[in-house]
Amino acid sequence: MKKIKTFILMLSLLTFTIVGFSAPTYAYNATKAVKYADTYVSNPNSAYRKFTFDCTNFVSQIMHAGGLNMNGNWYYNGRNDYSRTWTIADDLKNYLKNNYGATRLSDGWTKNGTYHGSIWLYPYINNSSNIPTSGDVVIFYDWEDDGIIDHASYCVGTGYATSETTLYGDLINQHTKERVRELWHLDKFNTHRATTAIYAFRL
Amino acid sequence: MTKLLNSRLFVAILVVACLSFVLAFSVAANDIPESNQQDLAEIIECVTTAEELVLAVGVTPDFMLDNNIDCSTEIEEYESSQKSQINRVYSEDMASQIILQYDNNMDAVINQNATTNTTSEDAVATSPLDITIDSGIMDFSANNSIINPPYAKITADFVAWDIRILEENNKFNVYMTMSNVIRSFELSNENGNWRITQASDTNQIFAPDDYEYQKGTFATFEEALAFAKTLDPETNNPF
Repeated sequence: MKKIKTFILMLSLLTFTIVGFSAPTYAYNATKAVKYADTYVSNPNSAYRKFTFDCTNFVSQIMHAGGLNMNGNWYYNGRNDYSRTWTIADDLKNYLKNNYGATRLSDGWTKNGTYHGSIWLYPYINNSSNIPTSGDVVIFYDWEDDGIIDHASYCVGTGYATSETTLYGDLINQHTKERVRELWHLDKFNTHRATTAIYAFRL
Repeated sequence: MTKLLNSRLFVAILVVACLSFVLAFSVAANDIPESNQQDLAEIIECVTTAEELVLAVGVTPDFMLDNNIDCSTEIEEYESSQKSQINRVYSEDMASQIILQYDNNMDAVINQNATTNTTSEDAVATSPLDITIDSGIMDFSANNSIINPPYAKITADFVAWDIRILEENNKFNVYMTMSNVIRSFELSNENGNWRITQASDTNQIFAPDDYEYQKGTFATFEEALAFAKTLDPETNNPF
């Protein structure tokens, strides 16, 4: 009987350890994140430094507004005190992948989307299912597919693109260059579209 | 007397200011020692060729647009020429990666070309046309150059462009995409030839908000193509 009790106790401790420490738990508020993304996409938040290449800084701010807590590896304390993960797209991608177990939605995006008559190609991030995406997805772009992420944007929902109102699909906001609610693949703005690999992470 | 002194003083200050200005510019121009100027020229040629080759991935070559006849020989020669240049300007590892991208996109280009060379009804029935007909770079400048043969590092700043025809709502729209690209390269000199061993920190700045990507709309692909060939990147450059 004592052995059984000890076994149950050990099992409970093991379960507690696995559940408690395997992945950080956090409540992410996509609505708050999207609201921040819409508020500060064209008028940068003066509480943060505006970088020459500001895409990752902006995505980090959005995620922080959505409830992702700063820590020793991902932080912004001031104009000259911030982590690489806060401002460098490749570092942020690795940080999310390694620390939050973010679900990768689209691995090495390829042009195999579905054509929808008057709606333009590849409307949804998750091409395989064509399911609209909610506002908890960070998108990373590798312009030459050389394995180093060059750019980041944030998915703010689904709807018609700002630049062309006939284009419908998942939309992003981004900095440098500021783009408000444009289709997630940025295909029409991108001179490197033939070599671009896109990765999307759900928080 | 005071006036004369003041005017002389003014002239002297002006001369010193002009000399400083000229000196400042000449120092900037001579950041790279004269002995490395030849290397710099070769490095710039290598980097510009490399970027043009990357931008040419997925571009339909001219000879495929201009006729309906079988052009398999021309395709073979074109592919061989592109790959030979890729191997010249990139290190082995990088070249193999780019050639892989090139091959993957060339299949799509050939398939798209087969669609283009059918009747327009067939083309609509199969898939919407999406064809890039030309690409290139302009306004190239090299910054932060470190040349210490056989090693070199350079940051390139240039405008990339391409011309694309997209079939949308049964019309053929012509787009000219422009972006300002800033990219760092590391190179190594092997047997007298500079080759790129690493490229990183690519920043692509899209065109300003007021830039009009769409240049024209046409009822047929042929009309769109004829118009697209008249577009001049220089006069459309928003940067």
